[in-house]
Amino acid sequence: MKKAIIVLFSLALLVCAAPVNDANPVNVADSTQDHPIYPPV
Amino acid sequence: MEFGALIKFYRTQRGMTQTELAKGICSVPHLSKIENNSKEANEATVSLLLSRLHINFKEIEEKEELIHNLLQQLGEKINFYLKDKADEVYQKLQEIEDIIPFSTYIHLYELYKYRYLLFRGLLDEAELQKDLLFKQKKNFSQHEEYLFSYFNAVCLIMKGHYKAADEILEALYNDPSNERSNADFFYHRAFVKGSLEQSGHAIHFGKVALQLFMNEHNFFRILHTLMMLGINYTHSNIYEEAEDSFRHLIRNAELLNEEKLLPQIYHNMGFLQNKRNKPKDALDYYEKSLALQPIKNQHYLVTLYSIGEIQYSLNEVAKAKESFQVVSSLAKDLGIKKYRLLADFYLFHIISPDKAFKYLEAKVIPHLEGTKEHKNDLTRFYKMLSDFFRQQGSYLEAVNYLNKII
Repeated sequence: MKKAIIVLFSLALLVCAAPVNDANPVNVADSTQDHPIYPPV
Repeated sequence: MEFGALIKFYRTQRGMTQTELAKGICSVPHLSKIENNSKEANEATVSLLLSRLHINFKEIEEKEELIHNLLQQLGEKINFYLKDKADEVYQKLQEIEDIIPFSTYIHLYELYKYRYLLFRGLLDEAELQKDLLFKQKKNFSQHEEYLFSYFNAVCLIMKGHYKAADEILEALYNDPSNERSNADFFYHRAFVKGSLEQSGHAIHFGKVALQLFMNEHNFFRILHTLMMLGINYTHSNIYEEAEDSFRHLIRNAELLNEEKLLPQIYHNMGFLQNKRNKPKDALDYYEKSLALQPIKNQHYLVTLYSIGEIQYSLNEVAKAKESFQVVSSLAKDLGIKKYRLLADFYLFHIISPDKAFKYLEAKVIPHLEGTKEHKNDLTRFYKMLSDFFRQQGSYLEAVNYLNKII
């Protein structure tokens, strides 16, 4: 039940937040990943 | 020393019968009892039997001491991360391997052999050794049991199973009967916590390890611990401390001409600059790191992948494409699926974002979810897919991926 409410609430938020005719592509490079090199075990 | 078993070993090795060996020294039933350790033989009898087998009683006793010293040395060389010296000691132990089963150090020898194989990165052989030790487990002393559990945790770390390793180390840490002031132990605790993205804990244990390594002037491990602290400070957004750690490391590694460690430090400095939102500085460090890596191994792959990501974020598409193509083919050669999938995702994205997101959903996400060790990557890709579906108007899918983040 709680999960269902969260899903519905998130859905409502997304629909409201979605811009009309959003032409910008999703930026895959806006946050590059953390890939450190760890020292030897 | 188990003299009975030793006498039997050399008698059969020399093809002698019990009658031949016992003649003029003791009765055959008496020898039989000695060999089976059911009777404690006096020193004179043992000495006579050994001398008939051309073995010196005193020599044997000295060997027992030698085994003890060599095992101690092996543990020390591993703790101090001295690979060549550890090889030398291990070689010496192998030369007297025949006699070790008759000494009181039989289990300790097998345990340190296990640790040595892990230390040298020989995982397949280490796994076989682990199976062998598992069968002997019920005869272990408390100290030997501790070592077995601890080395199993090291084995799990090397295989990337951090959660299971963490559980073992936690249990050992909480058991008051175990020794706890071991610097290596805290180093491995910090290692696991860092890999599990629990940077606060990693910093805590890392600091304890650093102090202990400093007390014993364990130079290589001090450098390794500083590197780990730098990474975890970066993860925790404690940038000044991170920068201090890395600068200190660069200074020392340059001073010591540490060719292996230096490119790794430059890489992690790049990782820090990237986190600080300084992509150009990050790129400089990554490129410096790559230039110092002659062997195209896993580290080379990670550095080149990081370069590709930054080039892509700086809109240097042609350069990024070139980097990802090399990453994809190298990852295939090295059998590292994660980086092949990630590089291919970017290569698809350069041609067609739609195709890339389908690939992300069909290939990359299932692989990352399957290994259960890539929470950071997954969170980022869930967010990306959620944005993608939202823009496509597929809100249910968008919510589905958002919920995975929660």
